[in-house]
Amino acid sequence: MITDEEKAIIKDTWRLVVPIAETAADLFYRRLFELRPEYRRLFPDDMRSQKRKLVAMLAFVVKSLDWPEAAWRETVPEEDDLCLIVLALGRRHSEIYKIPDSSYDVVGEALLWTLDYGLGKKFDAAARAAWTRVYTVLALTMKMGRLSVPGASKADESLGRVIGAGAHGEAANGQTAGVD
Amino acid sequence: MRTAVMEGSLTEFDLSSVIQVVSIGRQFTGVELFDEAGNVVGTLFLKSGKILEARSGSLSGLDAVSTLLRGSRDRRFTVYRTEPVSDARAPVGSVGEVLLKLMHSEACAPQRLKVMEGSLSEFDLMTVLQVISIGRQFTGVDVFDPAERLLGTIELKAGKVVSARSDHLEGIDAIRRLLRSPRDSRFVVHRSREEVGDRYLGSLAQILVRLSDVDAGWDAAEPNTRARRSSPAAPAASPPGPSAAAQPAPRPPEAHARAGRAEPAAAFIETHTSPFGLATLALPAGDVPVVCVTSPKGGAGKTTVALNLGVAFARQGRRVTLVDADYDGVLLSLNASGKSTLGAFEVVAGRGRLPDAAVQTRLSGLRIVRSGDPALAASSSRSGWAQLLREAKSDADIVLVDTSAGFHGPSGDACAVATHALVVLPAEPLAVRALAGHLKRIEALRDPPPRVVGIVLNMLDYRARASVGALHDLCGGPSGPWVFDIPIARSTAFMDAVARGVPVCRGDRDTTPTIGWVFEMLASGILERLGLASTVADEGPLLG
Repeated sequence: MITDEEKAIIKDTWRLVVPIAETAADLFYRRLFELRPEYRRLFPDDMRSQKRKLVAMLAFVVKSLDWPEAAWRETVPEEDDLCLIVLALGRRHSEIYKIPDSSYDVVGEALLWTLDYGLGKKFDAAARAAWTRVYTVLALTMKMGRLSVPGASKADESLGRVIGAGAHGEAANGQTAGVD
Repeated sequence: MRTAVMEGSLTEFDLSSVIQVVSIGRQFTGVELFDEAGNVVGTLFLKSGKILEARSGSLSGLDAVSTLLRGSRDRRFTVYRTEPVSDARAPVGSVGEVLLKLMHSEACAPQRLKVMEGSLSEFDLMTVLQVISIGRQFTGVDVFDPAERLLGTIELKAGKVVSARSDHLEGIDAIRRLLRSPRDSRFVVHRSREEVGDRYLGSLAQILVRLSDVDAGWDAAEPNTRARRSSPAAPAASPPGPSAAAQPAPRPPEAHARAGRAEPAAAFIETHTSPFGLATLALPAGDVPVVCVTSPKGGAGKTTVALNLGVAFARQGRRVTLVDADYDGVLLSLNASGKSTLGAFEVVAGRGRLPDAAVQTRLSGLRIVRSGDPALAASSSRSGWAQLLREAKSDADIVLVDTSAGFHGPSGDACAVATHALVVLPAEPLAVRALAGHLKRIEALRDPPPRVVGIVLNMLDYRARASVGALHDLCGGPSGPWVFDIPIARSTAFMDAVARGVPVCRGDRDTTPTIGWVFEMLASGILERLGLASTVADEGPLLG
């Protein structure tokens, strides 16, 4: 459903985000807590690690989308599979953090706002449409994560690798939400 | 070998969503569907966004995908990873291509066209009907219970309820029954190509009032009978043509008698509006209306109505200037923050110019002027507002003024020099009782006073008897003819939109929530009453 053109736009715009990734993550969470102040308590006081995870997850999404149409027959390791990883992430958000489906709309709003603010004119209608499309599918996959079977793939183990170390530890101890 | 990835019910996520999610993965993946008895009814194989194979009974390929997508939603699904398909056959197609192809073939089929579907837990049936009623296509709503049994169908066209069926029930009894459908029921809206006869049950608002009549044990006359029985002093029955949906519903004389306590409102309406037609609401050709959005009490949703109407007018191609005259113009200030330090109060006080204060929104037709520094509110004057609004009119087709409750300070000054007033009334008994006093205050603003373009009933809660009672009292009273046919339902979408600082009615089709479309209808109704409606080309007689 995500076209090659949209994948190319995502890749190009992400390239512009990378140099300002730290600021972008900062803007994202500021906007998120502005939209929903009550979400602040779901996150740790020190947001540095959280911001790194957000950037890592987005980088993984962009990288996972970057394959040519002609390569569809290629074998891809399951621990690098976008669908399996995002399903695992969605299951964690549903089972551990009890994140309601409605929160995905707010997160999407904050993400698009951040890209708009950060990229300025580069975030044109086509870029907005591409990011909206990708986020919509990712949010749907996250929601569907609650139906996924735990341990069905190596995605659960590789989640920590994708978004950085400490993901499991914080979930168990702090019960904080976010991209992990 | 197969490894389960996830399983669930299509009632929660439809097959199209499951396919979309699987399509972002690059593993060989199977999607198996089961009926209620646990029998396999079909299988799809996907990899890297391609549908490799599909089977359903004796069908395969595209036909199988089509059959499975149209199947019952009480099926369960299992997604599993599987061994790579060894043969090198061409895939059925990419997920995007296949879904597009199927949508196209469905659109070309002679049967009815599905417009949308959803759960009544998300949008109740009245909200769905309200949204559909703004359209002018012949549209049906099927309601299915959680076991996917058809509970009934309601058909509408151009705001009229054409028919309703539910088992052996028909008409209003069927509607009442369907309105009480379990909240976990599903609705499907479809456009039909059936021809429409000249009979209908009544407009949606009439039906609603009638339902509350019947529930209260009052007169249950047919709407058309009511029209024939209306008093000579009451407005004539709605004229034919496209404006009919937005026209006020005629009231029976007994309804006026019941609502005798609102007599002052009747006197005002008769004096300053035209009960026999809406022509006198229109201004001389070329003059731009300035409509102040007012309410007898705070929290009525004036700002929400003003902002969303502004968007709806702009979306209909009008140039709109929305001026915030409210001290606490939080929403409009939020939208304009950082883009201009000037506001209306500064312009009125002579400390700035309107072009510098007006903020262009993403919609080319909509400009917003925020209220400004509250400390300058004391410098407000009618002459200052008259000057501001004169300037605003020079670059607009319609000027909207958002006001604070009552007519104090800048809001009072702005309303005093406006040409029209739109009254927003929350659907609650106290607000309806306060209407008469509010209309008298409008009357006292100046001589002649701004003309009342209509009354918008806001935050209607169809499940609360008191709220529906307020609707009934209002529509049954002397000011009933001025109530717009489409009330605005209470919806969490408004709170969400306010929290985000955006209108519910967005600038594009894709992001406007269902409830946002109500403002399109309201905007059309207001334009009609102001004599500014676009002329609709006559497409010839319906029959022949």
